[in-house]
Amino acid sequence: MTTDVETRAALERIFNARSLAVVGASNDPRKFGGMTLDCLIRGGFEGRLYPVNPKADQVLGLKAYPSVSDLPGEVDLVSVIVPARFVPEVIRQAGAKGAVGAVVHSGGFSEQGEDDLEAELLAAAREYGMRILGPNIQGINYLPNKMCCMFLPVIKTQGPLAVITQSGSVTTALTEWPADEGLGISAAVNLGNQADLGESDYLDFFAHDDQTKVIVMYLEGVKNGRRFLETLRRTTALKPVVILKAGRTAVGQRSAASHTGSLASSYQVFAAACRQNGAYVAHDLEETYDAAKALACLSPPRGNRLLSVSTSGGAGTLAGDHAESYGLTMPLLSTEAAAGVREAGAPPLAILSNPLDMVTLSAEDFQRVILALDRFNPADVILLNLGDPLEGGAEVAEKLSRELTAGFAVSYFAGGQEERRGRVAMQRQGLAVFATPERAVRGIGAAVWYADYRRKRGLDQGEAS
Amino acid sequence: MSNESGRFLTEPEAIELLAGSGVPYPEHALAVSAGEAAAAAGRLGFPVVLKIVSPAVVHKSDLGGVALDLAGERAVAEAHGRIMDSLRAKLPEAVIHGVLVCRQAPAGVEVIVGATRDPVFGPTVMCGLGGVFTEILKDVSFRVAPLARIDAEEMIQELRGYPVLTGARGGPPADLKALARLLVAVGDLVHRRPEIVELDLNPVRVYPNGLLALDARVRVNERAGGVSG
Repeated sequence: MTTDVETRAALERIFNARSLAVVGASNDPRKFGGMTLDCLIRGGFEGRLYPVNPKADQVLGLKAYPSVSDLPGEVDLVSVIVPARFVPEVIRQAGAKGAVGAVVHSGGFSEQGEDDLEAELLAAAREYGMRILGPNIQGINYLPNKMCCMFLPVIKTQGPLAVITQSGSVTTALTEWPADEGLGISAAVNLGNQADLGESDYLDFFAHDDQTKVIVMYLEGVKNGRRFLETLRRTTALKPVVILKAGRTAVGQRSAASHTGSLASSYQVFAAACRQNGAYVAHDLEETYDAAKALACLSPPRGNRLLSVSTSGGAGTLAGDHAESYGLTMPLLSTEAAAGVREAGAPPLAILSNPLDMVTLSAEDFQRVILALDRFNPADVILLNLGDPLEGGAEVAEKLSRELTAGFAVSYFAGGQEERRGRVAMQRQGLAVFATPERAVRGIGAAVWYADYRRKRGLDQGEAS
Repeated sequence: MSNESGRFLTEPEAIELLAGSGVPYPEHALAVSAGEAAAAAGRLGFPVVLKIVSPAVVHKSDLGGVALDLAGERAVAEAHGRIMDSLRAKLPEAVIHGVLVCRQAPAGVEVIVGATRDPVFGPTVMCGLGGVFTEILKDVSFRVAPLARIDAEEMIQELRGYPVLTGARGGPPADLKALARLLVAVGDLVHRRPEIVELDLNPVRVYPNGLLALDARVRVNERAGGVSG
């Protein structure tokens, strides 16, 4: 039995590999072997890269070697993209070269009923104390090491999210969205067949990875339920985890022998088990991303009170519509707070309620009013909804996020280029910025949920001082 | 769960198993004749409920094996006769251990508490409100055993019908501390005893002070550990 500590140490060395052989590297950009080496080069990997291809002297401009055994000196990690039947031999050669692990992209193992071949692969790895990622995976991307060992996509925007998924296309969505918006990721990992390393191992690694603030998982099932829950509980005591589980509507195949049995759809139990152990369970891809972003960028809310401040009435109404379904309340402004805001110089047409409709497009007005309001503790999170481009909005938002006692999030909607640039500018400053008020409320709801989970279990006691 | 073997405990066996875990049950006695049933009812106090006890009977009311609201010894003796006749007509081969005489519990908010073994996570506990809430609206919540007190509280609070428990219908609020204690106790039981593959307390009546489980169905498989907890 390998312990968690040993596995974590092995993953530490794998993700921080200084030399990497790409076995099956190809000059053909349409082949997985060509795409993977290309991603590593474009990702900016700074360690030594060894293409392995018996039929080429050079691959993508790098000197190629006929086999792993022919490599000059040792190698930390191998990326394997050769037909399945050749993989065990590649693993043995890599083991002899001192490799810690192998990223086995190749398919054709247990997912195709080839259980014996997968067992042989595993036996070869064990013989040399190597660890296997995959087989049958898109790959891994660890940005602190600029190691995009994946056949796509190349994500270089480093940020707080580690993304662990059981699907290639989900990996692409959950890594490209944060990259496009300027939030970024720390890592992406595909699970594949999990012949050796599995969901709990990666979860445990990222729990202890300083570069990761939030872990995002897309799961279709788990291999070892009890171990997963124990790892999840330890992880969520350290940092937030967001889980999206496929198969929400598939009702468990149970007979109706009893009420309990017939009602226990596996999704419901899965979601409850994750929540019980501190993970925020999202219902779809977009919510997964919104929750992860809010958990990464919003300071932990003290409670569930939301104040919505808008340039236009519609935004506030939309935010209000969603607040309750995400566990948020929108208390009315106190008379003292309303008076305080008038004194501070609210725009003459402003409607001082919650949602608060500013009827102004002056960034200066927003800053003055919101700072004045904050002194009256009107809410635990203040959401600023910008329905139109706001001159100087990014600067004001950044200042507010630093100075407010309440948590602070922004929705910057309407689809124009100006708004998009504004969102990215704010996102780069670490603000929680969303494309619509609804999505902002959803994200805030997740942050409130997690803060509540921690509070009720006393997880933050002793850290405050 | 029909693919898993095992057997249902009779109600007295189930009660004995649960009593050790702090699951409150109405006062009861096993009787093997009409005379014994009437005498037991006299001791327990009226009204009483009679329930058939037979390893062959899982759904007692479907087979005419239950009689409610019995207010006197004569009513008990007559009900005993009806139950025996019904059983002999419908399941002539069934071994009958007797009838369970239970003191009839007062009205209260009805909930259902259950436990199953999830193929992935092992023992899980379920809670729901009785009647349409559970059967039509599927308003139930789950947790993996063992449960911390906070888990039990949250699984009660997340029911859509939660306001019914806090007195939304004008009644007094139900004893939610007692319900949380019950959920924790059931979780501990199924966590500790891997041979319990399924457990149903349906209904459980929750009162302003305390609660009572009115029926218990427990399936055990002595050879199985299920997914270990």
